[in-house]
Amino acid sequence: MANFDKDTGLSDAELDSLLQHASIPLPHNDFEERLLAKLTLAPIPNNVIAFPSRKKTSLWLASLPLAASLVLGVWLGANGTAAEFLPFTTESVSQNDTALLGAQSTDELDFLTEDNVS
Amino acid sequence: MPEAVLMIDRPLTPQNANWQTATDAALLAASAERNQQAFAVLVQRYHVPVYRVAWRLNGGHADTDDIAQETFLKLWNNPGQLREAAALKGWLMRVASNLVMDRYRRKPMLELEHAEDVADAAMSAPAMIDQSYVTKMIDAAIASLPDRQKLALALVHFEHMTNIAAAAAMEISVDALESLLARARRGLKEKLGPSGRQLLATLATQGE
Repeated sequence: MANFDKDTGLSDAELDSLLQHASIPLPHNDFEERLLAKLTLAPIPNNVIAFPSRKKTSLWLASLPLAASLVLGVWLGANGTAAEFLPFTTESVSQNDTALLGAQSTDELDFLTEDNVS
Repeated sequence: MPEAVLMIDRPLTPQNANWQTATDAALLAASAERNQQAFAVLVQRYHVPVYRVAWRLNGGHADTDDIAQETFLKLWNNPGQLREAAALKGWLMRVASNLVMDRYRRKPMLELEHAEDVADAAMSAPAMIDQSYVTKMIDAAIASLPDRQKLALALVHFEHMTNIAAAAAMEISVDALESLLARARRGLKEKLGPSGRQLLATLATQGE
């Protein structure tokens, strides 16, 4: 069904028919020759930015702290405690507490209840 | 240090049969390596539609030739801008239309015909006889459309691109393209007005 415009009365088909008579421009015959001649004058594009190569960090240098950390972890794991590296140890604190309570060892604390302490 | 320029040691016209049958992708790849014969084949394939779109957009201004050439020079100078060879035609159309619009912003162009001529419904019979006049009237009506509508019309109607390809070339959605086309057609109907019927009648009497 033709789509008529209310004001002009032109249908789509009529408009298409008119558009077929629009100009069909063509470039000049020497278009290609002139363009290709311009290519000879065009500078080679220099759009590649040469970044300086990054300094390669030595693999050994990077692995040193990792190795040290690993050795420390193994040593601490084997020794079972890091008490020697602390300013005061949990062991000394517990010994002080047992001394105050009159206990000989931490094992004796098992017999102490809150009622006994108070 | 002076800029290096290409030294040509072979004829520039594409004589190589291999390039003539090569795909756009192969031609682009060769052009990226500064192969002028391959590039010449690309120019041969697409310079007419590029020229037509530029002509349609700037209303037949004398700059059309320069714009079409500049479009191809952009491709030559920076082939890496184009990601897919399948999008070559659309890319060229987009570059050409952008160049036209950039120039139009810088300096107003002289249209083929004045807009008031298009709206003039009371044309004399002798004036209507000339078919070239009919063509000029239609060209002027198209030229008076807004740029985006003109471009959509040029791509779809005159270059026979699909809506999807035209939308991709214009970097808009298909819906937006269809909207532009609808507005362009409505605008043309309004601009041609009653004279559109007269133009059709003239064409009919001339053996259409």
